[in-house]
Amino acid sequence: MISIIFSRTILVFSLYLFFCFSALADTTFIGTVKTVQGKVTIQENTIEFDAKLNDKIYEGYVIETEKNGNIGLVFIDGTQLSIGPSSQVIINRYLFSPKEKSYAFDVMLNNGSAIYTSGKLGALSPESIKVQTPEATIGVRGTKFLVEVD
Amino acid sequence: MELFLIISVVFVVLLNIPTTTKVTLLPDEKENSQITVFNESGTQVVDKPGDAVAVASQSARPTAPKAVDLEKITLQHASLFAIQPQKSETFLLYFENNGADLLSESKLLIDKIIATANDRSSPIINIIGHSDAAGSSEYNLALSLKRATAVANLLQSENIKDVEYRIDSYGENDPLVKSGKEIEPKNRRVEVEIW
Repeated sequence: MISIIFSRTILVFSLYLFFCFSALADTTFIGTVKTVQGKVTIQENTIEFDAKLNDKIYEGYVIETEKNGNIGLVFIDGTQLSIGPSSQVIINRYLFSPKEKSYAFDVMLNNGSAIYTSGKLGALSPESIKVQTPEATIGVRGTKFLVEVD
Repeated sequence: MELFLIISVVFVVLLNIPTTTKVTLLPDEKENSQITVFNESGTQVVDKPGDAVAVASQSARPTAPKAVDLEKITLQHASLFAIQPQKSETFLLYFENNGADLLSESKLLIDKIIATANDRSSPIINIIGHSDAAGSSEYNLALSLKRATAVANLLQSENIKDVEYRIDSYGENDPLVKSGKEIEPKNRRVEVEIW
């Protein structure tokens, strides 16, 4: 009996937590646009829009900057990816779930330039990180680097 | 129809313009920074900040690391370097054993957290609960969420402008101090990260 009451209490408490933070129920976003300058477009399937400050980033986004465009992304683990002018970046895969110990970071720079700065993902699971270009793949350990494709 | 075909061919050719990849390890405050650059033809390790490797194609080995002029590179990519988001600030709050009550010295940090968030435009506040490894991992996950929620409630009562909160709990999976299954006060914490 006591255990039933106890588990009900836990259930009610969990529901309470859930409703308190239902504004945060959007758990699929993986990062945000923290800085942006000039024209930067984001494509997802058939949708295309101009990137704005505080836009949420999702897996599968294709980010393209024009000649005057630059953008700075912060992922939920603290990884930063800044993208320079005339670039195309595809966010292939991103997973940061320390509860389940599942991690992935796979982005492709097809053209242009980018600076990667590692976050928690780099500390907890460096082997999950992959930055790709048409010519090579970059693996990291607690690092900041510049990659150029031209 | 024929015109369409011709255009497609031109398009494909344009996409196939060969590119070269250049990767430069940048100086950072983290120690032992290291990257590996690899493809079908070989692997190259770069562990000295300021060194760069170039890769001409998948069928060419990455070149040996070579020191580059960082000042020149920063100028060359001035707008990219300038767009980098501001670094985050992290605060650690500590708790009584087995509960969600803040230690008194940690309570004093709350005002500083609020001031830091107010200094940024549209801040993102990550509130991450952690526990030590004493007890079951399920219990620790629930406990660390309770701790994160307690901190979130404290901060949410202040009206920080355009703030976005993310609340999470890692339980015992990301200890600050490596310890066995014993009580470790340093791991009983909530991390508040402000972006």
